[in-house]
Amino acid sequence: MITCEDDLVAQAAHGDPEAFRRLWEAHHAFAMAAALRLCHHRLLAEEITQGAFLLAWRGLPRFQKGSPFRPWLMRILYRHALDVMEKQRAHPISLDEAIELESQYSSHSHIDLQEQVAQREEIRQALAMLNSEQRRVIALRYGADLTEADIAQVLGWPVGTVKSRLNRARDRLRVLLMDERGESSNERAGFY
Amino acid sequence: MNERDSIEKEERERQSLDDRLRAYYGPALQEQPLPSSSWLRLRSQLGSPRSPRRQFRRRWLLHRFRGRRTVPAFIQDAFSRVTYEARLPYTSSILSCSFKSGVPLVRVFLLGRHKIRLILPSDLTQSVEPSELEVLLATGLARYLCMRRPAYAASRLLLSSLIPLACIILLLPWLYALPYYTYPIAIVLSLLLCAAALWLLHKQRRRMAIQADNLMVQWLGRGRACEGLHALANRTGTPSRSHWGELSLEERIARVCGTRVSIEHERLTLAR
Repeated sequence: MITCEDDLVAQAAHGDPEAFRRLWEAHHAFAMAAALRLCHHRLLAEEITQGAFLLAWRGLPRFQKGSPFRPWLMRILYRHALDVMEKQRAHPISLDEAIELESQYSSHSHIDLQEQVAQREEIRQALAMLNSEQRRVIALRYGADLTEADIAQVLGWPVGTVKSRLNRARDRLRVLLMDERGESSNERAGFY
Repeated sequence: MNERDSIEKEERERQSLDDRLRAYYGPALQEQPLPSSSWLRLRSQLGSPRSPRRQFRRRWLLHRFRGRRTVPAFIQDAFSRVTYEARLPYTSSILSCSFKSGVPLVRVFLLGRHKIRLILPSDLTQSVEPSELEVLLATGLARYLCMRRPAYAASRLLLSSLIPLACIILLLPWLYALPYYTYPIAIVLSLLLCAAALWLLHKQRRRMAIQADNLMVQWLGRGRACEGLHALANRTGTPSRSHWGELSLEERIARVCGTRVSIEHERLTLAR
């Protein structure tokens, strides 16, 4: 059965920007939400979304006819988001900026927010200690709620590799977070 | 009993980590519509739509010239990402791919239809890491751009013209029946000229390769570039070997990563 979306995809693949605009209108808000959840930064999420649509436009001639557009677009978006985030790691968000961002999405008090941001910073630092593959697999598992099979499809790895990298990443994170907690409690004991 | 306790403790820790990671990323967000200006920005990057006539001509040409060297989709995707990072229009036609035994490498040609030729190992196609592939493609594209610069092309032409000049000098004593003592002078002169031309060409090509690596780092980021180069170096048995006019992988790693530490010490080598 040929749906309206199939027609739009076919027209866009032949270079029709109007058809692509309609695809953009139908899917960009969902894609933006997914990107924002992964990177927690509105401007970066917008850049990722735009980049993913641009890559999709270029990849449309290779799009498998009849298959749904959104999963294909999301695979492109996740891959692109992970690449962009890896490049952005040299410039992490400042604590003040993070508090401001957090306050936009939450209704907690300022002290709660500071606590939340501190916890997030702890996780962010631990994630930064992982290698690139482990960070990717964690981001897709927890930031995109993908199953191991979906992650394997997005990253082009065998499912077994995804499982082993996920397990290794979790083990490493557990150790890193325990270390950090130990250090911070020692610091507190020394301070008081 | 102790074993059960430790299993339960491990399970609790795992659950706690899962909860913390879920809290870090937060719940799925509601749809986040973008302003219409976003579409206009995207639209400006899409390029003009192809007219049906031009499209027909393009299809005919593709059909006419399509060889056996089709580029697999995963390589086209990677190349598309690299061109996006380089802020260049995507043109897959300049890329070709072949499979041979040996290490993966990329060759760049200024003439011919396929400017960038990717050579991947035939038995290891499945295990080429994405970072390796991106480094190869970005290297190819960057070198192609550097080689197209008029200054590079002109100086290369000039240096290459020294070799026919050396041949003419070698033939001059025979052509004009000059005295015999001029023969060794002509031979030495032409050999010196050839050697100088080859040395300068070698130096020029290496300088271009360094410039191309700088571009590659700009596009991929130092961490990704370093990761890919390390992966390529690990694949070859002799990363310190360099061909004529080329940088060895060890030199490239030293320049890009600023260290010669092996991939096992990834945390030391990747730029944070």
